[in-house]
Amino acid sequence: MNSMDLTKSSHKYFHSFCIRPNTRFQSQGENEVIIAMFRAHPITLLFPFLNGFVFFVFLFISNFYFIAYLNLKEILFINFFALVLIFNYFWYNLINWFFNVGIVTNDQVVDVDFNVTLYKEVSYTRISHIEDVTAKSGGYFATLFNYGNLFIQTAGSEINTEFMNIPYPSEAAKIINQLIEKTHNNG
Amino acid sequence: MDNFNLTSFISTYLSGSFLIRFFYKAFCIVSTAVFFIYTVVIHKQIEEINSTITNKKQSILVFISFIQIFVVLCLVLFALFYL
Repeated sequence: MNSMDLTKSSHKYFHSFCIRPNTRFQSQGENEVIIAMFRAHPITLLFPFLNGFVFFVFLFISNFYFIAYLNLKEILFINFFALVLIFNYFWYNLINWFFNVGIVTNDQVVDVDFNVTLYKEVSYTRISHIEDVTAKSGGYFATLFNYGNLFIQTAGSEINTEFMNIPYPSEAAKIINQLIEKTHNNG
Repeated sequence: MDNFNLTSFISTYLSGSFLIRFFYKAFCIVSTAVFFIYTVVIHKQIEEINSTITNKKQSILVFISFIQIFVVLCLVLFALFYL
């Protein structure tokens, strides 16, 4: 991947690697600008979507058995309910993917961990507090589709931030390192 | 109470097929009602996270989750009155 221009708005892989996105977050300062935003690589949605497809095929096959034991109203209800459940399974995974984001601004790194039903966690790390940025990538799919994890370590007892399965993890690390350098130079 | 026939009552309402239908309907109503609460929770969570991260697509997400609530409500009514 060529070195990217951080001043122009761009996005890759269904908005999973965005530069200057048209997004705001709750505690964003007035002079704070979002430089980059990361989501998990869309290929990570492949397995949940395949599972959903398997459920659909299972429902289709099950109908041949339902005909022998259930009446039309019951078959209709089971199919309707199962289709809603399958759609909900897709929707649940899509929402989890969409809202689990890592945001890098000119001042801080924001990690939004969101689980639709269980919890919502938003952690903020000042760029000036970052000690080390590590990009890790491993496995067949990660190598093939160029995604991996980004670990941001902070000084002292502050929470370390992790961006999981993001595309181009080394490019993301480079962006954060540039910002750290800029912050240190400005004092 | 003169016309009350215990034998016919038992044969009608405590027969195997009636009980199976009864528990089937009860199961459908309870499961769709629980699922309805779950979709409302998802809708609330989406609204909540939309206040944390604001973008252009948030209205579409809220709309889809609202449609889901409506569809599941139809399922609950289906289970209650039509099944």
